[in-house]
Amino acid sequence: MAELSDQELLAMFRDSQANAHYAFNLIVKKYQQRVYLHVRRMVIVHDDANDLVQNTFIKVWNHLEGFREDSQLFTWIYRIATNECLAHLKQKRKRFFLPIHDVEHELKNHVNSMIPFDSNKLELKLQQAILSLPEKQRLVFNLRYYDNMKYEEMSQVLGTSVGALKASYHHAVSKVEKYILND
Amino acid sequence: MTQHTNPIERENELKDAPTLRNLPTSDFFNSPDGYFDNLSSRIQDRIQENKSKTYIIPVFRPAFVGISFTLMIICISLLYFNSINSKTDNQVQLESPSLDEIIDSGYYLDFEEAVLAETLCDLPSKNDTTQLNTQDLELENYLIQSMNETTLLNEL
Repeated sequence: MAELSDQELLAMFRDSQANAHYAFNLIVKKYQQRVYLHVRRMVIVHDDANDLVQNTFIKVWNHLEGFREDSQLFTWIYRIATNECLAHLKQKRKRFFLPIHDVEHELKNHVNSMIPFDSNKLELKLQQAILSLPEKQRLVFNLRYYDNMKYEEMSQVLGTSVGALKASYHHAVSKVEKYILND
Repeated sequence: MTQHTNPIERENELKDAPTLRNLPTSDFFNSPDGYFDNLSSRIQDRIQENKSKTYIIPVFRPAFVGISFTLMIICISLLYFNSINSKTDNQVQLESPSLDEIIDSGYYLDFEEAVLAETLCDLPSKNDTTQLNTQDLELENYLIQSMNETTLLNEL
């Protein structure tokens, strides 16, 4: 079965109560992997990512009826997921009374512990370099570098101007490159 | 989701970062096997769970109930002791008229001084004497001063 477009899925969701659940399941299946990876790259730990992905889709379900299609469906879902990640990281810092670099340190340790035997050392360095970026810049880098997202779409997800996103990505790239070469 | 339409754009963005450009963009993170197979059903389960969940009004939180119960006990105790105290005060007032009242009424004239002295001597201990109020002490002093010393000694 060919993958339905977002418009078709939304039309199906709004069609009837019975179809709503089916349409929602299709939406989840369509975006679950991308949302999971987006969240996982931010929070690193699988269990945390699992919780946040579920929370994201529960919020999607709760608010999908009121979704006005001002933006595309996937950028809206990404926006919810991004907010969940940022709230989670903020809560984590508050819970442990840790300054930001300590949370980063903890995440870096987690990344170091999960490296597979056959993995490239450069990949590990890349992850460490990404983790050394500030949260918002990390988001910009991940969305552009891994998700190949257009700046216009990123602008909808992050609520930042295209120009600022371009500048932020440019800085992130040079910081990451420097980190990999120096460390 | 739309993808980069122009790979040149990407090349251009990474032109100053050769290491990054040559790295594969495959994802470092993997999900556990079969994770996505039942993710949607797990989400549906949680949605159903949230629907059927009865919300507990914060008023009925255990801590709140405990505090309310304690306050209630304190209030009842205060009311209870207050009522007992007021009752005792009334009794004291009935049993111990003021010295002026006694003098004015001439009530003491009906008693023999010996009987009054006996009553005073029947007090259980010295400690109890200290508990006598000012009016009682005045009465006692009055009796001691006005009583015949011989009579007093005989009675003792």
